[in-house]
Amino acid sequence: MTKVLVVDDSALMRRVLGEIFREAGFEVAFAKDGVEALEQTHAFAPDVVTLDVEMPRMDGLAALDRIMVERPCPVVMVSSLTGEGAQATLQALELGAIDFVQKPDGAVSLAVDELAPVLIETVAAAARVRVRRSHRLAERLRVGRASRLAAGPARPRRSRVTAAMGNGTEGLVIIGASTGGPPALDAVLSVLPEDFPWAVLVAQHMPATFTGSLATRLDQFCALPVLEVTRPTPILPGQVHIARGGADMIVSRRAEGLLALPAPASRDHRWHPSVDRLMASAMEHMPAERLVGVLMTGMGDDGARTMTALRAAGGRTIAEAEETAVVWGMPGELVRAAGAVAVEPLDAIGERLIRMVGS
Amino acid sequence: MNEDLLDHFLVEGRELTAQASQDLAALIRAPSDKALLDRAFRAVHTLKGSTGLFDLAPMGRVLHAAEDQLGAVRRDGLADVGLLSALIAVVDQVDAWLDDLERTGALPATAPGVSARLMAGLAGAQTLDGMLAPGEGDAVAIRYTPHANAYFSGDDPVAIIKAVPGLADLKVSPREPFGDLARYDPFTCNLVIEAISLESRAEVEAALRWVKDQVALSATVRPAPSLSEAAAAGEMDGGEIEGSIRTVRVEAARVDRLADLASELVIAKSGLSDLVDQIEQLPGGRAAAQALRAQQARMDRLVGDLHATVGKVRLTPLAPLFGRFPRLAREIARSLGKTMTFEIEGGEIEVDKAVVDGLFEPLLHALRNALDHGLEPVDLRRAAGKPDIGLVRLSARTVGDQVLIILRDDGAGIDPARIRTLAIKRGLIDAVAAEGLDERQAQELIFLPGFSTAAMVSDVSGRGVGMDAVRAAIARLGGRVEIDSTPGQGTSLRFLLPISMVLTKIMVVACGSERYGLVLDEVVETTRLSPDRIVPVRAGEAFQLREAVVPLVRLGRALGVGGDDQATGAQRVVVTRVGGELVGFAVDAIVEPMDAAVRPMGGLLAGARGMAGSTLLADGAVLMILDLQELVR
Amino acid sequence: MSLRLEGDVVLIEGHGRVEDAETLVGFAQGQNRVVLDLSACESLHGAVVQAILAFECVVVGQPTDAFLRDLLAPALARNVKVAL
Repeated sequence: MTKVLVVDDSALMRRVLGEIFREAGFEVAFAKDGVEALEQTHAFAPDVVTLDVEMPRMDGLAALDRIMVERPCPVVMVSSLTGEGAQATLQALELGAIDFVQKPDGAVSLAVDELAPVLIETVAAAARVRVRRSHRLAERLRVGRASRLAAGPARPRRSRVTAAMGNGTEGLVIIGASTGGPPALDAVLSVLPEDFPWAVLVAQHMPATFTGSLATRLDQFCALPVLEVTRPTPILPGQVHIARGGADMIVSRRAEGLLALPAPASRDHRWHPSVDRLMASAMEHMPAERLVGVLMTGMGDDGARTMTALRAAGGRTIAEAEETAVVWGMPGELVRAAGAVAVEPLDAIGERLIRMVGS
Repeated sequence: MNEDLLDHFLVEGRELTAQASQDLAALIRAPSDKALLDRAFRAVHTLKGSTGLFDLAPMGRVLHAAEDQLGAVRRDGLADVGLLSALIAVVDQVDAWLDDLERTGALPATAPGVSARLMAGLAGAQTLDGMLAPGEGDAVAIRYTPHANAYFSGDDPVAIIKAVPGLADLKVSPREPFGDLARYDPFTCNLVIEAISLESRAEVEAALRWVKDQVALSATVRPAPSLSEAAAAGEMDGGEIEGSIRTVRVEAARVDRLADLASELVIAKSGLSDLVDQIEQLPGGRAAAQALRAQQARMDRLVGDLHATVGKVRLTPLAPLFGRFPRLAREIARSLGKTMTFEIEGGEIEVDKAVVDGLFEPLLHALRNALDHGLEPVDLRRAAGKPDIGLVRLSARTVGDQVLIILRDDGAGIDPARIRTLAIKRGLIDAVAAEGLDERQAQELIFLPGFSTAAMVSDVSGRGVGMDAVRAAIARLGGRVEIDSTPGQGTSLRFLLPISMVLTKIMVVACGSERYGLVLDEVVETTRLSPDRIVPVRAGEAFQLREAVVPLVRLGRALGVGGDDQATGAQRVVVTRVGGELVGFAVDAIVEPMDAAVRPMGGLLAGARGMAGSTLLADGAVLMILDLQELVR
Repeated sequence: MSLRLEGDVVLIEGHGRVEDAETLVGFAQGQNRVVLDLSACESLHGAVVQAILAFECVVVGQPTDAFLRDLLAPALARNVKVAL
């Protein structure tokens, strides 16, 4: 029986979450703050921890940091997704949390019905994830570096004048990620040098309020400028375009060149921003040899179909290796469909991209 | 059916429907006006009574229902918009049936169905309005401005508006201009959807409850029954009405007022360019003047568009006008002891309301002439090898932005030799000049004032009113009339008229005994000059107007009519802007401003120097419009 | 995809969905004025309607859906200035 530790300072929220998990057949224990949570991870030995961010005594991020060091186990953040909550949740993902679920913020009775299946699916998937201490240490080091960068003076950015003059990009790198994606994106994008010649388009499955924070954070510790695409935006070489969450992003050709365009979430796709839809639209406007697809950690199979098609058409693809992926769903599907040109561990994907695009 | 009686009924019926329709429309605006209500009731009552004399059961039934409803309104003192609109629909339908009666002698096969539908409308209007709060109309105008992120939230504004019940009209437009299409964002919602629903406000609100923060509703008057509804009702007899035209009933006077305002806007706007010039002269005023000029150019376009659009609002089909003639033609022909077939074509063509309104008299006069002087008696027709029954045809078609209306008869035609003789005899032309005219020119003599005399006047063609009156009436409408006649085969009168009446604002000035028109657009101001302010400058004269020295042209002298060389007293001067320069014209008097349909100079005067065109004054005199540019040159 | 280019005419078959707006924009970019045949169209999403307005597409055809035929198509035609 899967053992879930529910950490939340609200008694009501503990009860709601507890009932959901019990009905799903999980064994449940509770903690009302970070201190209790740490004690319980040793005493109860949970398979999964759900963690609130705002708590007295020791907050969620501090607790997460300690859990990852003292007794690594899959953690799902249960948090509000607006403003500071989004920032904290992203930080939690960097610190090693597997995934997150949005806390109901309206009428509880109504929201719980929608929350329950998402919560159960996420927690059940997280329970199957093997958390490796060494990997988490690497993540934590990177987060430390990012914090230092963010605190330090602004780095000089190379001039974007040539790009802004309307010179189109020679090619597009399309990166898809889901569960465990934010730290993985950091690992890949922070490696790319400021003279990286192609444009990068990222579809990270996330709700709308998250991707702005994600882009801001990534922009802080990447050499390339990273922006969230909230309106039709010219696709420029050496620029990272993050799809707005909760919607899709497509590539569109206009008189002046390629645009990245936010598009309403298509009902034909289950996850959003959809990797498959982004890749399909890119393939309409770019020859396959000028496209590189990267599929990283995440549940499900989004991106596998179109990236397999891309390889068949002569394009190149990289799947994240099983040993580094938090969830080897999407990259696994790509490998199984024989759609991956290369299979690389997370730390090697960036270098591989530079070689592919630089040549 | 007794034809005389039916004819009488048609005449009286049309008067009554017109009366009722007018009063009911007025009641919508003044629901408590008892006099209007009484008059509308009496009109419907009388109409119903007369209908009973004929075998017109469907028409009688619906009029009876309408009378009952009006009676109830009179009793209860409550007239609501829904019922009044339904009543107007009944009256309009009766009017249309009168046309059918006139054309075919019977109601169309669709009449029972249409009648039942109208009766349901009367009953329905009553119950529906019973549910509404007082003061609310039964049509709801909807303005729905979806959020910019509507598509992202999964909303489809079009599907949402489609779900509104009773939609009668729809308009979709961008909320903001689309801007640079190369950056067009297909997924940011930029729509405003306006619609009219004939359902109750509550129903409309229910359908739009999820987007109510983005919707504005207002009660409105029910639009006139559209042709598509009539088409639906007419399906059983093959659906003779094609396409659908949605109409909203607007009082003619309001459209006229709108047209007046648009014209005034044109005038007001024309004053700007002079101001801009003045600003440009100010120190540092150049930049402001340039910006103003750009803005002014934009306003010019908009005002021009507005003017043209309002012009189109005034367009109305010729059919109601044409529809009056078959009966009149029969009556006239009968009184002359002649038989003829009257054909109509092109009634669907739409022409400015002023043109349509002004055409009845001249057309009627021309028709009388055609039947009286054109069509021969049967014995002469037989001798000429023509069918006993004559043919008169009234047709219309568009020619560019004009409408060509032709009244053709297959009668005797006009003999040029006889016209010449008559014209000489009446002293309208001398024999030499008459010989110099070709056949067409000779035929045109009939348009000269004084051509038709008592000798030619019969009972029918009226007394003392000749074809000159027809020509003048048509000219007042900005059109012209030509005659095309082949002796022995018939005559065509060709009326060429503007589809849209463009009226020009004219300032009338006097020089001696002559009057001239100046286009008001060119007039900057009028002023009086004491003689000492006029100074000789080289060959001419000039005067000081504020900062500028303005050349003065004595209009009478320039035109060679004299009259304005006053030695003493203040000189009246019209200051104009000609080709960008100020020029003053000395005149004897400034008479009045007026609206006129200006025609370019034609015929004998085509080459006249300094004349831009002409228009007709109310007394029939011709007013020359000056071409100032040419006069100054 | 419910949009199809046939010669110079764009056909919308079935339901014109929100995604089709971008496809229509793609067609409209390359041409002076797109002629849009709605004969086989059952409904149009607001985004498609908006693209029709923006690019002043000429709408032709008599769809079977009453709303589309009697209200929406005439409304769209009203917004297009066609030089005849």
